[in-house]
Amino acid sequence: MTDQEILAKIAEKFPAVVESKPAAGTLPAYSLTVEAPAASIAEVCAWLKSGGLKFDYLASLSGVDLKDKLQVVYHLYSLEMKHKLVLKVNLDRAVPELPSVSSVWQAANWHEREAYDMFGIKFTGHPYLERILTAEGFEGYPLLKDFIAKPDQYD
Amino acid sequence: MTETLKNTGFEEMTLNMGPQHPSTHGVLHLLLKMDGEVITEARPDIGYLHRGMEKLAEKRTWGANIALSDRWDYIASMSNNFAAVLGPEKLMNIAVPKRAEYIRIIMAELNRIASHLIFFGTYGIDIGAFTPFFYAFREREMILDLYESVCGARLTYNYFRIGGVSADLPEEFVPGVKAFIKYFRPKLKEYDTLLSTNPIFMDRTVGVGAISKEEAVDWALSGPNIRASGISFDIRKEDPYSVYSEFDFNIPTGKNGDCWDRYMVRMNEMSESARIIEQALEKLEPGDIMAKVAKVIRPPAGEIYTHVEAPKGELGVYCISDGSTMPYRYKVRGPSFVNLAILQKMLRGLKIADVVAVLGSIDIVLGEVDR
Repeated sequence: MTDQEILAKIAEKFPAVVESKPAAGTLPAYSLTVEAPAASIAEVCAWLKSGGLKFDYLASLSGVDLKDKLQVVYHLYSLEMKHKLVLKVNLDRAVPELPSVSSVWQAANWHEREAYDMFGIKFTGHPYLERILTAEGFEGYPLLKDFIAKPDQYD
Repeated sequence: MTETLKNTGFEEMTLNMGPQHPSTHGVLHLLLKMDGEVITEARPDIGYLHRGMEKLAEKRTWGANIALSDRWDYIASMSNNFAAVLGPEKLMNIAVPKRAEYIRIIMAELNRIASHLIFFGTYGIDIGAFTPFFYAFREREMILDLYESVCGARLTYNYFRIGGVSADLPEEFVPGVKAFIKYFRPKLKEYDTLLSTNPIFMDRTVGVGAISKEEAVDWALSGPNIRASGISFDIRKEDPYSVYSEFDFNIPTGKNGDCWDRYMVRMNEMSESARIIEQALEKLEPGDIMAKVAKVIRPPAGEIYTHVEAPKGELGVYCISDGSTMPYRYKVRGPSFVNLAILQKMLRGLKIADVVAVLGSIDIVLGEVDR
């Protein structure tokens, strides 16, 4: 299925999901990239998986700090139909919250915990949203651009 | 609480396995809730080796990140190097010289053999067979010697460069690899007689910790773990990078997705890697090893997700460049991190004695899990 066909299918079902155009002066996207509103991400993902497009493989889920907003980027792949999709969700920096997709793809479970640990993004409905990589009692979210590291006993 | 516990008056026990435990292959902490010998809940607790690789990456140049990548999966650093250079190369549209491409593939496939040898050796120990370890490390030593002759390092190679590789092969390298492959092929048969079909080993692994096709996809397993469940998913075929499309090789798959299948997929992969190396050696011709690249690497603003088939699975790097000398965001999707997550599901209902067999069969490296 070509990128245009995938895009048309998504647009037909979810008019709010639009193709993401790279900002002026940046390279064109390498694979089809779409943006979805945060509130409906769980429904969009559930449909992407079980609908006709069969995106059954969540390759990666990353948090990104774009200074004026936070972003969650899903890299999806369909093992059966061999096509891929990049799905982006923009979040308000003050209240970074969106529904969890860990019930859609189990793989999202730890990815979301990592994004929460590093960016403070809250995934509502996640079964166990606890810090995963940083040490116990760690304060702040280290991958935010405005994070200031507190010197510890080793510094 | 189960019925048995209620009736007998016994209580559920919480057992801490690790972080200091010889079978966890590093610093992994498993929190196990036990009903007698049966595990009712398992929670892997990771992060003991967290070094903030992604934050460090944002403060280092694109080239310096190759050196950092050596420390992700530190027993397969060449594959990490591969993943670290593909992103900036694609962003900058660099065409890597043919000779460098073949050298890269030889290095990556040798590294796959070295990594699977470590798995073979340590998995034997996990199950209770000590001898395979010495066999595996004897052969791995030869690969490390070859690496040492090329780049001077035995573990953290830092050999790849954006646009090529750092040094041409020394004279003794190609004959050395040929001699190694000739020596190594019969050894694979020896391993099979030593461990693969050993009845005690099979008793411990066949039918233990089976992962169904659906589960494997749902948890986004990759590498030998997903292939053991019968899904022929390999980035080298699925989304060929470098010059992998030129080579003729098979993707070994399993059937039942149990520990033995995962083990066998890796054993079979080693001979496929040897095949790729032989083909690459034939195609190797004199030429440049570096493309013409500016001294200061400044990829144009943009983003890309590149992935390679590392020995443990899909190693992806999501690069965002803002046009400066350092990455804006550098997300590493380590295969060990994703593969380990399924452990909480797999261990439920198993006996405590199988924990080590299952954990070993997933083949994780904590450096990559924690980054």
